[in-house]
Amino acid sequence: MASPDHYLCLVLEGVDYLLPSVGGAAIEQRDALQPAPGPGPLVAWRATRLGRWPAYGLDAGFRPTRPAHWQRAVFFAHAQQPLGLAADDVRLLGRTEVQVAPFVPPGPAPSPAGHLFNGAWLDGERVVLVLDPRGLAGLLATVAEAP
Amino acid sequence: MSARDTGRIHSLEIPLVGFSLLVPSAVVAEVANPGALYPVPRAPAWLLGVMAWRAQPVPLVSFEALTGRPPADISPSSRIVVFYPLAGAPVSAFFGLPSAIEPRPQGVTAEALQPEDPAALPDNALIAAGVRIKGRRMLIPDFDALARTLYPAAAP
Repeated sequence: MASPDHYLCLVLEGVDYLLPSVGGAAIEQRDALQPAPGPGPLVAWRATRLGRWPAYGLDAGFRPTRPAHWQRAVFFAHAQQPLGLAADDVRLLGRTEVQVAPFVPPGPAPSPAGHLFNGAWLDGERVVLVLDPRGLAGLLATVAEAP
Repeated sequence: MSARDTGRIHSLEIPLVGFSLLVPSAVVAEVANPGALYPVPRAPAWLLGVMAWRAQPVPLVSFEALTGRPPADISPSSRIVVFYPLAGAPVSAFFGLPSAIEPRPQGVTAEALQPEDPAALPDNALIAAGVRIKGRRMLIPDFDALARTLYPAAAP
């Protein structure tokens, strides 16, 4: 696991998850994105010079949903094009604030890209899972490809 | 003089809901009280969540659910049996198994063991064998099969 300079704390339905900043994530406010109409988990687009990047909604269990109260989207690199995840909130945490221990979830990975998590921050008795950007992008890719 | 020299294997009986497991004490790192449990998204039903133990995250696994039964609730009388990482698993992959009540130490000797009729055992790859000690049936897990189930990408 690479050592990032900082972590992004993503809040999904009131649950915190950490995302390492490795790979250069971009954060956009909801107001700065183009809304995507329809009932599905594709909630917005980010217009760039290189094309449109989609942002998807996931619930706290990382199942596709169309969240009502999301405020920001985090975009990160993926094979074909960057993919975004809509979150209730996104906060920046410095590396010195967070001590991450390795964590491999038992069982099969939820997508061919691998496990969703590769670490955990133990804040006393509280456990905050740390996302593996590759696994998250892989999961979002399966959401994007779903009919 | 080691336990093996005396013919006695220090073991732990782990009472679950409906059956008990018998494991060598050497594979157990600690018996802990239940802590706050945090769900792991997109995990199998047998992965109950993750808890903090000695400053590291420990996943809790329901052996009942792994063998096709409903996962047992964790109650105030439950204990968490924390296992050392399995062979082939990541080096930090301690895991916990909730016990319905306090596990019981067993000094097991060959004379005290009665093998259970294999036909009477659950048809499950995670069960290596069954024994009876003082009339009580206990199941012995297959740790290699457990490693392949918990860490399919890492186990040999």
